[in-house]
Amino acid sequence: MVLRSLIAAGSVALGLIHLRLYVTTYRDVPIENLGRSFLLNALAALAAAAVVLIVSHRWAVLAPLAVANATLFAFGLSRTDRGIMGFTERGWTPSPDAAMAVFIEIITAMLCVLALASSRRPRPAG
Amino acid sequence: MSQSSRGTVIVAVVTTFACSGFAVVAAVNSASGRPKPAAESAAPVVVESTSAVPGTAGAGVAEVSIAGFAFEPSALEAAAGSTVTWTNRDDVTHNIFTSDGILASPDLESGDIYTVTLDKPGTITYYCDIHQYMRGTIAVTP
Repeated sequence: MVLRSLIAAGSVALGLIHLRLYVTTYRDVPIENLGRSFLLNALAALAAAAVVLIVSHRWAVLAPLAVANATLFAFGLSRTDRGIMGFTERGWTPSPDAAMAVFIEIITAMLCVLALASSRRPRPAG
Repeated sequence: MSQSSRGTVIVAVVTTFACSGFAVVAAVNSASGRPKPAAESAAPVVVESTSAVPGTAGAGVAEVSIAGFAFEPSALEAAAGSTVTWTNRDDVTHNIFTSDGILASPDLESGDIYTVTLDKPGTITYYCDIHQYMRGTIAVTP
């Protein structure tokens, strides 16, 4: 339960960072749906946190893992010349949000992997 | 652990390392691999002016605000010899470039100011090299 709580905390932090970035900065980006993707990311991260706390099934941690890895991939894509949906950003800007978010995403994803690896199927009674 | 469970864990480990590595490497590369601005414009110049009128620069000084991933005003008219000042009011880094190198600012962090004096009449189209959909024009009149 401690591991799941840490994963949920990481997912909530990730969601709040993206919600803040949406409200303060990226909702103004004049690329259709780019700004909204920050809002969608925040909602997905918060939902994943709820899933991992509420659903006791061992695969529940796949929800925050998928959100964290998808966010890391999108972040990496935005730092390439191709960008994501035509949007590019550089380095660790906006600071410190970008570096903080990546750090939390990596830790959260690794905790999810740890939870997956350490979980055991319940043995049948008798 | 069953074979399918082990497979899922392996996929999760590989995906996590791949996505983490991609994010970090892409950020480091994009921060260091871009062309640097010209040496003479390496440091932003801070100009304080109270006489500027947004959108016009008949007598000498005009201000352009960078906010919400846009230049405001995006179209500016200025007499030759005028000084134009860009102020980054966004939380993210922007810069000012032209394809012919007339304008080549350093990266402007939030609150940074870039100032340039425009001597030659003509129309200048500039853009942010990081967010290339951000564009503006200056008509420099004789």
